[in-house]
Amino acid sequence: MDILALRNVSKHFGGVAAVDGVNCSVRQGEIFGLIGPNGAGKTTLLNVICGLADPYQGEITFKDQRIAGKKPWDIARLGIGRTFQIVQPFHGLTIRENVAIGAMFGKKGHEGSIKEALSLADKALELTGLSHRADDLATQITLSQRKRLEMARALAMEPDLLLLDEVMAGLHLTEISEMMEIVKRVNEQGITIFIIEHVMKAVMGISHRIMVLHYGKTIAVDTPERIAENSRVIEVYLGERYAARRAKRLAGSEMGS
Amino acid sequence: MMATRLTFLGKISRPLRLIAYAALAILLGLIPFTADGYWVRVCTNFFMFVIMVEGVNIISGYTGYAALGNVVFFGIGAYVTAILMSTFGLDFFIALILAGIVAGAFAFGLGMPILRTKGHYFVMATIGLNELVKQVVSNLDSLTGGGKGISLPIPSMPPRINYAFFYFVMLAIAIICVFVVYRLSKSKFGYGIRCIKANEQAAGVMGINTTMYKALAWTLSAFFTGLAGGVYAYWQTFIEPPVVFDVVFAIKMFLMLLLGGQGTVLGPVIGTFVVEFLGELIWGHAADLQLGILGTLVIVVVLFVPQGLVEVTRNKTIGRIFSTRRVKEPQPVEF
Repeated sequence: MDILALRNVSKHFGGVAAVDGVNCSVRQGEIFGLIGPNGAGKTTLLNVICGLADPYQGEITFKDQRIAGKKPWDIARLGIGRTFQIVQPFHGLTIRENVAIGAMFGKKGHEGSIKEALSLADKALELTGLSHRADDLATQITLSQRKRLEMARALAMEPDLLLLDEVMAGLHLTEISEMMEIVKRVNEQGITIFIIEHVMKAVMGISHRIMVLHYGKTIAVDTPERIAENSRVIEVYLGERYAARRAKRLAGSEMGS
Repeated sequence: MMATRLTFLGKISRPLRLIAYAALAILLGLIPFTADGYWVRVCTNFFMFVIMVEGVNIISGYTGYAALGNVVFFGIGAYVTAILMSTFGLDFFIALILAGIVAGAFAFGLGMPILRTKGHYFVMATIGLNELVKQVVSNLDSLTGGGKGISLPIPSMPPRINYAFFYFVMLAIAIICVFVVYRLSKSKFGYGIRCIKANEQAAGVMGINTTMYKALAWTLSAFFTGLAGGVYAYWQTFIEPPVVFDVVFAIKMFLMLLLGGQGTVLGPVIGTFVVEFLGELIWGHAADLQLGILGTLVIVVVLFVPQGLVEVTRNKTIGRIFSTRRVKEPQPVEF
């Protein structure tokens, strides 16, 4: 079943088509990767989905409901959470309070008390490994922790679909593996994930399917294995060197076995 | 400051605290019957500014929208009270409540378009709004008396009782106002507007209806400011546009807010206290130096305690009077 479907979605900034006639559908429960060169329109597409880039052309349905023209907070409360590429914590609030905001105003928002929101926040902090920093201010933690804070805050909204915008950018290898684990764990809880990522090892490793965007247009939607071999994708994004390295690695593993 | 909660007399044991509250109440209750009429007026003025500065605190300190032209609601409150009392012969308290409601409704209606602007543009838009309303009031002679001003019925009370009456009305509204801001700071709505101040875009995608929250915050701000204007009009018995729509008023409100500490419950009270009473004291002894001393104070505060004087209450000695529940000390960032 498709949880999110985009039909012929375009977003223009003046004469520039940042997103140009994109069609895609994200299946319930999958991890859907979105890759493409800088300026391909990935973040714009995410903004379009969560209501920050209104108005746009085309049709978007989430859980069989049209969401075009809806405000960001209405879309959030339907069950779409997101993180920002450039982390945007609420300064002046502690980490726990930051995350509790998600529970207070997210999908089930306005129902529970602040106390309930804070205990929901603790769960999200545990899942993302931030419990030990709960009482610190958002300005006092590392980039890796801030990226996880973005995740925790979106998770506390109890979303059905989570949009992740480069949660691994700027992290070192250990932190990337940790983040991959977190993303997988979140997905195992039944949350569908739509992830933009430049770290190939990560996005290839965790995605069920990947879409490649180039100058606002979809050039491929496929499994990670087939994407890696797609000549058009190699040409515009992955590059010959990546393809050669991968071929060598595959050949090596075949010889080994 | 940031993640601290400030409670007045919070660290002192409960019985002592109750005694302190009682002493404060008795003191405030005795002032109008014992102090000189001049000081009663100074106190009434102090309460009036507490209301207005808390009003600005809601929209600027908590929500992050610097409504420099907030004085427009003071003028609207004053004029609505004046017109309802002198033209329609309404009772003071009924006129006053209606004045607050009209000011609030005005903020809500205009907030929807004006609160779409940000930063300097919003500041200019609110100043423009104030000038606009001032001009309309100045030219609607048949309703407002135009530039000549408007008189209100003179309260038929002996002067002493008259002073005490306005003293207590202002005091009551100021207490309600501070209490409302205190409750607000602990509510979901309070969290919502603080998030808007911190990052409006992120607040929106977290499910906060930013348009509605901003408009409601300004409505509440305008309601209290309107009440202050209404009491002021009846107290003065005569108002005119240049006085109640005075931008200098607005600047004074911001001075008090920043001096005391914005986005805190007691910051506005402290800031107003310092500016009003210090101002009066210096005025009494060295009138020539008044502005110089206040100006120096502002520079010192901005340089050394940019979070406002509320920050000083976190000092260990003074902190016994004001308790702050603070978050852990900043830790070195680990890389």
